[in-house]
Amino acid sequence: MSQSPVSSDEFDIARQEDSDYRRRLRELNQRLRHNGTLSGHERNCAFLNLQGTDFATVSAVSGFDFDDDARGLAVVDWDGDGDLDLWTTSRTGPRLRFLRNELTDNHHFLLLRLEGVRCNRDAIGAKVIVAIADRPNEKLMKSLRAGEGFLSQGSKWLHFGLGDSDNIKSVTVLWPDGSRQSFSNLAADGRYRIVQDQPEAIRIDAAGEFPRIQQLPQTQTKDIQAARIPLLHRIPVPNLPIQSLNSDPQGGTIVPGSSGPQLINLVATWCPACREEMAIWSQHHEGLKATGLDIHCIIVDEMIDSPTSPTADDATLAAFPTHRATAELSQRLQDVHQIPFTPHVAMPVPTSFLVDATGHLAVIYRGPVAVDTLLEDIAKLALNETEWQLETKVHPGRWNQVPSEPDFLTLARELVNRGAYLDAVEYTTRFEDKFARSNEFSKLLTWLADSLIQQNPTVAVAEYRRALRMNPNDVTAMNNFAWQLATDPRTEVRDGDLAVQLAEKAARLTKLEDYGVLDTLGAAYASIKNFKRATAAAKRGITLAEAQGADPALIGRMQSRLKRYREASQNSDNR
Amino acid sequence: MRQLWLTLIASLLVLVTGCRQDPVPQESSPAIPASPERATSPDSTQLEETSTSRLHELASDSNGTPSDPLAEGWEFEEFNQQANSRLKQLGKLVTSPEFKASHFAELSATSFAATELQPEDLERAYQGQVFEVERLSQDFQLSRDSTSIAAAFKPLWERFGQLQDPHFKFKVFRVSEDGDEFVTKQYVQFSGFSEGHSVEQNSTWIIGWQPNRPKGAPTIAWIELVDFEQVTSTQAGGGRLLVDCTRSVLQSVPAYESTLLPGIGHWRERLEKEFAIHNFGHHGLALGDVNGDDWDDIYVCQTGGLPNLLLIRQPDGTVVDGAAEAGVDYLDNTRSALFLDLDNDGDQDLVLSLTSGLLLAENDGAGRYRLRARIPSVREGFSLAAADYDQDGWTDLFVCVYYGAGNDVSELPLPLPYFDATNGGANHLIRNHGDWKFSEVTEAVGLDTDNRRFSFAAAWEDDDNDGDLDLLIVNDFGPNQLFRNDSGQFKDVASDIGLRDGAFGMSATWGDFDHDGRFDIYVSNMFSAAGNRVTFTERFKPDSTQETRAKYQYLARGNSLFRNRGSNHYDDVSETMRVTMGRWSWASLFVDLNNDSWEDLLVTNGFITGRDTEDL
Repeated sequence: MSQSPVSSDEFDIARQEDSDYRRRLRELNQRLRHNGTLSGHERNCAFLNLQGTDFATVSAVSGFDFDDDARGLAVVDWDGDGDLDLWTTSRTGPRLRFLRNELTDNHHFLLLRLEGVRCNRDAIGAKVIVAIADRPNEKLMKSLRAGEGFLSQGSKWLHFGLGDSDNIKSVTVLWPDGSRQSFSNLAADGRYRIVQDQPEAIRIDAAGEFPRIQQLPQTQTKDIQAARIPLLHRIPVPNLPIQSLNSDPQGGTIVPGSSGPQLINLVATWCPACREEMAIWSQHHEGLKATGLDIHCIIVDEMIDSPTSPTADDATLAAFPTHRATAELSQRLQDVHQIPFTPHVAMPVPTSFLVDATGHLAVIYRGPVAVDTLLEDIAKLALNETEWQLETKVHPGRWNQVPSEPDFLTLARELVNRGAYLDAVEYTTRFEDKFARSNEFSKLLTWLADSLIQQNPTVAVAEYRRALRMNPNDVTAMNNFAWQLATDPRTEVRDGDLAVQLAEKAARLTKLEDYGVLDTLGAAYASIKNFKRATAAAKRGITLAEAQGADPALIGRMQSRLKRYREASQNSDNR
Repeated sequence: MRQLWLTLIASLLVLVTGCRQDPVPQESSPAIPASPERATSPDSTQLEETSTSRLHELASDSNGTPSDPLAEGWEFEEFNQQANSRLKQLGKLVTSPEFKASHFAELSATSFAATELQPEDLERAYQGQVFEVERLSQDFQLSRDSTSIAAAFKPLWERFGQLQDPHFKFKVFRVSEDGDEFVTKQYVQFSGFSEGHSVEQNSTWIIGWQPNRPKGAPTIAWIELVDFEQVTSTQAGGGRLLVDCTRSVLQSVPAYESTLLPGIGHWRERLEKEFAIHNFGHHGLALGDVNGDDWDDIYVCQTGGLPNLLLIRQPDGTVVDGAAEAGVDYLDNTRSALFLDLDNDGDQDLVLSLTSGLLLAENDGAGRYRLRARIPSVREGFSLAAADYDQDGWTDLFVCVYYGAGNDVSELPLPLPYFDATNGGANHLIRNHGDWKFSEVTEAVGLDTDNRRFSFAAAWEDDDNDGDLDLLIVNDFGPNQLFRNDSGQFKDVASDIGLRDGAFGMSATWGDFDHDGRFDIYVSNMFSAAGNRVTFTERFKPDSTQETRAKYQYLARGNSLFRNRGSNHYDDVSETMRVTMGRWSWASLFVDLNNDSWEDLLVTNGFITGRDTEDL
């Protein structure tokens, strides 16, 4: 049947993680995340009421059909000429429009502002009925609403178009408290304030002309591509592997923050803006140096398919320590650069990263950065977090609730993911305080230890221990560590007693309901030659695995282990 | 056995398994996750206009029907894409300053026939001071005559080829196969401007196509004009009634260029996502007289990370931004705001719906605000609608909440079921007790019934003329609700009075469009060409009943106008009143644009246009 669920069976299916419905929504979301289009370029619509018979489409000739992703809409007679002007908001730029109504016909109007006395003072909910002398069979009716349409609120001035008639017979106000008042002496093209219980409406004159309101294109006059992005929460930066310029295979590493603040500047030799930027920095070399700043230029030509190759004798570039990017460096910086954003954002050249003395990324600069800007930002690096957040706002304003920190663990995860295990150990150790706030940190360390155990058992064991220090109740950490302690043939790893201790705790925490943990517990007992207990644990594990429909191959392996425990158990009994 | 780090790798979907040996018990090594985010590189260019309304394709597939018709060969949709590209060529030729007969000929099948496309036999449906509306006369001959395609289009070109700023749009809303032919039905729009005489045409054509498979592009065998409306405007100054004066009014506002000109696409690459910068751009505005000068000022809601603006109207009609001075320059993601006199002291207080909660601030009479109440439990509110529901003299607040608790508000939700979803957010009615005391009364007044809809908007009106205000709520993925207020207790009567039918409700507006003394309702939904095409094919849900099919077809129909007939009944007059085709609608509002006393309708539009043109 359909993948958009109709029956309750179908809802159940749709609720499942792997339903087509969910899959498609995920695809759609994935596309939108990365700047995809969904019903874009849909223009605003306007329908002209043909005296109540039906409507004609006037989207284009009304001038309302902007190609915006428009959202809010509110109306008001902004310029006091008696017709309704519009304000709209939209998703695409320009995100605000004021549309002046240029109506020039000789239709009449009436504008009323109500004030409640025995009801809410705004008179929200009041209904006004206007009777016109030469149209006895019609009533014009409006009521005062606060919030209508979408995300918007229009003026509290009630507006009546009167057509050709300028003879208002009566205006009746039904106040929200149920009382009623009528006025027979209001003039067309007038603006009146009506206060509840006051017998006379008060005429308010509108000011005259507004020559400063003019039609002008809403085009951007400034280059808005370059961006200075001071980060609300600074991002810990992993070590950056570099190559030297003279194709020396011996590489090196930039340790973020190791020498005080650093500016890591991605450039390409063919990029004029990069050269210009560095020429300016060279002129201010002394001033920049005085701040303690180390500038590292990293040539990324190879990463971007460049026509030329960088050489060591490039004079402009050589004013600062200059290196060649490694693929891993590019990846790490890209990961760091991506942390604050949802859509994939490319790094243009030049892109610079201002890193503070503790190795945290503080400011991203896309495009060239001016020396003054740089000096100001460096001076602020020493501020505490609150001061930093106040002082570096690009768009000043106040937070009702200061946004929380992003998930920095992603960066460590990417390192492990790419096999940079030792760098991941270094990175997670250096910024352990920061990562310790994440409740997934111990899981990441377990993954890291699992990945390292073959090549580097000493470090791996230390990482298991660190995982358990971070979260002493992490079942995954204790289970995987216990498995290793129980089964690893290398004497520096093997520790049966500790394996049992950990596996027992894991089994307790999982209430003997986790067949994987029971399997480990069996192995742990076996490693201290307690085959009876090993047998018991393995039996229970297999029963649970079978009941829960575990992978048959795994069950097979568990059964062969059980067989070995039984044999060993009998052997020791026989002995 | 080793365990996987399940929570850790939740975001890493691709698993690769490796093996290794162990001496005593053996076990396979745990999975090694790889990142899917980078595996799928973003590519906005593939997602052109023609792929609009994927949500509907998503809605309307039947079993085995692929989500990507092109990739998996759903013939009609593939044909639709080809037809669209041909129609685009046609539109360009009609609006080109030069008449290129040979280019027209390339679009023609071996033989060609058509009805008149720029009919001469028209009836005047309306003559106002600015607008004149003409439609097909009863005598219009629907028969098609053999001719050349160039000759058939010449009269249309004569109308639009020489106009300024010409625009055309085709919306194919039916596709069917008839023997060797494909037949499409489409809305056709042409417009253009000139000094003192601008034209807009909205018509419906049926086109017979010669498909020219397997490799050739389809060509046009015949065209029938079945509906036609032409509006001419004698508006002076270039022909438009509404002109954009934003830049001049905001000339003294620094934030205008720096924050308002770039679109959300720009900001998503520059503001940190933790600021709650959402791709949907749901940010509204409120008008109100902040300083008691009888002129309205404006509060502009912005995305997280950009300060909201309080634009104070100056005597010359321009504005200055007084948000910081007034103490309301919030950086939190803000969807909507209302100016209300919450304490009845004669000035306009301010209600703000932020991602982080609802804020209520008191105006000191001079336009400076002091935060008086913060309601963190009312988070992620969408539209706000205020009314004194209990007539105690204090204005109360209704807050629409779209997303269900725990949903990722930066993404499209997962409505269940799709056309009648009840896993959305819970709306709130906040009662004002006076003296800045507020309490949630949603449950106490009965508004907690059926309160898990995806509510975008609500509007109050005394629907049954009993002196108190009733509440209309429009819901995405579900029906409209009309909660009748009887002595402060609410009951949804929408299905009893003909209002229940809903689809993808976005907004609602009340207005007496026919001057009968009763308020009518316009609800904006979505018109989906794709949804129309798919749900009307025979292959769509072949096993389902006509009723189910009709339900799906209704979903894609577009906006609804409900005429209030009195005695508790509304008629759906959307189609006869010609107001369904409101595209991907958001706001809708009854507005008398030309002061003729008749309520016109305005609908804002467009969901997500990828990558703003001004961006990198």
